[in-house]
Amino acid sequence: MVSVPHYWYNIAADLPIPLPPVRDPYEGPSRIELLTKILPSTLIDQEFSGERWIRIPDEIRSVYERIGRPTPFRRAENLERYLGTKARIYYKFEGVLPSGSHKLNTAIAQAYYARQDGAKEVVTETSAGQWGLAVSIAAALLGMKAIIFMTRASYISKPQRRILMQVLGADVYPSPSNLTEFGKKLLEKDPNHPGSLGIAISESVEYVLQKPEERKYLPGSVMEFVLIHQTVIGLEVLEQLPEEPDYMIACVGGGSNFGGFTYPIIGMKLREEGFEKTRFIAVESKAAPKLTCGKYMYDHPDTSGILPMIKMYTLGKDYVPPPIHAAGLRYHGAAPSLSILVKLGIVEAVAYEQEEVMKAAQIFAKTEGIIPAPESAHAIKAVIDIAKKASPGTVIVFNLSGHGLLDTDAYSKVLGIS
Amino acid sequence: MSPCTKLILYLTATYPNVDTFLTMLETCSSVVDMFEIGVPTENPKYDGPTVRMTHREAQIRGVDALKVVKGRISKDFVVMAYFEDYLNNLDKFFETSSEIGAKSILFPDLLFDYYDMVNLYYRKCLDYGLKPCFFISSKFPYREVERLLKYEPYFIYLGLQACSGIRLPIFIERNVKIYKSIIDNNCPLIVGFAIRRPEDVELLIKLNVDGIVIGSAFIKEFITCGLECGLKLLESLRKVIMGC
Repeated sequence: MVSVPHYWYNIAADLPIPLPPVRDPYEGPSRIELLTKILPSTLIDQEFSGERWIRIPDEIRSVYERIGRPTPFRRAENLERYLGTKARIYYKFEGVLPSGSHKLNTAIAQAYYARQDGAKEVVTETSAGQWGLAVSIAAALLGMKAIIFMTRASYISKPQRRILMQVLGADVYPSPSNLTEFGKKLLEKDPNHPGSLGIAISESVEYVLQKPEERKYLPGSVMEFVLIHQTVIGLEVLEQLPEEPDYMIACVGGGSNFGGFTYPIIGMKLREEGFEKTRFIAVESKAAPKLTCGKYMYDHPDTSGILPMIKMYTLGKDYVPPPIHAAGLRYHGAAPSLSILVKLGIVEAVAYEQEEVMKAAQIFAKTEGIIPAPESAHAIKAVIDIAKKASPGTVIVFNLSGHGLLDTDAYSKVLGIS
Repeated sequence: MSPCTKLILYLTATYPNVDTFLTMLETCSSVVDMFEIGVPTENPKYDGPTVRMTHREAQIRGVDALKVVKGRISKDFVVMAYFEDYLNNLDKFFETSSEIGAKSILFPDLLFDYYDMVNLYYRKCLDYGLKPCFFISSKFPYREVERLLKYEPYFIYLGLQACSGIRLPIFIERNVKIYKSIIDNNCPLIVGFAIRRPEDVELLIKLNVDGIVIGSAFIKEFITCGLECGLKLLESLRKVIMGC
């Protein structure tokens, strides 16, 4: 019987080359020093930990069980039949979690460590609302208040998750907002500024710094500890896999979904403990193609440059996806560990347009009865492309990181369903 | 009683000026076992604010700053520089380091930004009669540490924090134990970054590290009330080290 793991996995111990250190920019105060004021202390420790296996506290394991972990692992037989493929397709389904996506795995851990430091409020950014909803649920479960800066465009166009966050007791603000100096400046230039994830991160950090003793900032992706927490997904998959995969596929926004799903398996491959034949495919959006078109360089994870620089594939901290883009995965950079794995060719990256992605989502919905999140649908598109060409017996495993029941706007906009 | 852990002082060459720097070297020689001499650069990319300031304010930049120490250091010393700065004139840099009597050259960016040039670095060390040494971070891949041991390094330097001089809430005891265990006494392990209190040194001695580097804490004392205060700091740490 599959159980919730007792440890998270830290791939830094097994990477073929070391992770470049975080770095301060040439000018201004130390952003590295700032981390102590905004992040829960244990998260900082995990970010710089050399430990391969990091123990999951009992209370977090208990909450993981309450929210429905381990999550299901299924074979997509109807999809196989529809495609006429002799490949076998399996998927891990994180959409059964109360937040509807994998994001809750790290939100719970981060809120737990924030509470451990005496924080009353947890503060974060969100665009489509998956991360904001996850933090709102985690805060509710752990008796804390969530403050969410939601990109203004999503705040207006995607009220569903915003309302759910508010139901859970969170305060949700459109970003840019008047709560921060950074937000005020942007609104002065453009009162209808659509916002971006980077701007919302900057506002969240500034808001925490207004009362650092009461508030902690919780990042949704990119930081290595986020990927570490998400490895509960891959560790469960290791117990659930009926056979060794030829392909493991997941979508990439900042990299936490992909890392969480694949790193325990990639780690085994790097340690030469199996999975020799497995290929790892990271699927991103052509609207934010950092892995396929970005530069590998030091960059800030946030638009205003409040946070330390990390070395990653990036489109530049000021990158904003085209307004027409509705299918998520909008972030400008990818986690440093994932960037290294792509650079070394251990992980392969592909990018798709949202139209082809949403058509793939519709195929999956019609065959498997699950409406996938637009983000997760990027992985489905890659699965379909590979399965169509695969030789008989090829094993494809992907992570269905979330459901799309609250993403009717993206389906409507891209597929033209009114 | 000979110290079981070396006390190592980091200084940026020619900061704040040539004369004061040389006085620092001479005065502190009675207290420390070894020096790490930083070569002033425009871009001390992996250093914290205090050491960055010393690079900015040093009287001489680059390899010429190193030349002033020739014949002026009575203790063992290593040179610290960024590989990035000497990519195009490695031979001259190694030659100068060798001529002034350095035991080794520590390039903190070598393993992070120029990983495929480790063999070149090793060959240059051999060519110029220097021993290799390596800087690793607190989350360095285990196998790669084992690989470094094949070069029979003078030491491996473990950065305990994200950068020099800034203390984050990192469980350094755990990280030191991990890398101490991997190195398994096959080469000395020295540690540095944000070490400033006698209790920090006591903990590290209990962990059996082979050397402790003091940098930013000394510079801050020097800025606050002069060389005498910096020396007092070193003496307070020396007492702990002598007691082990």
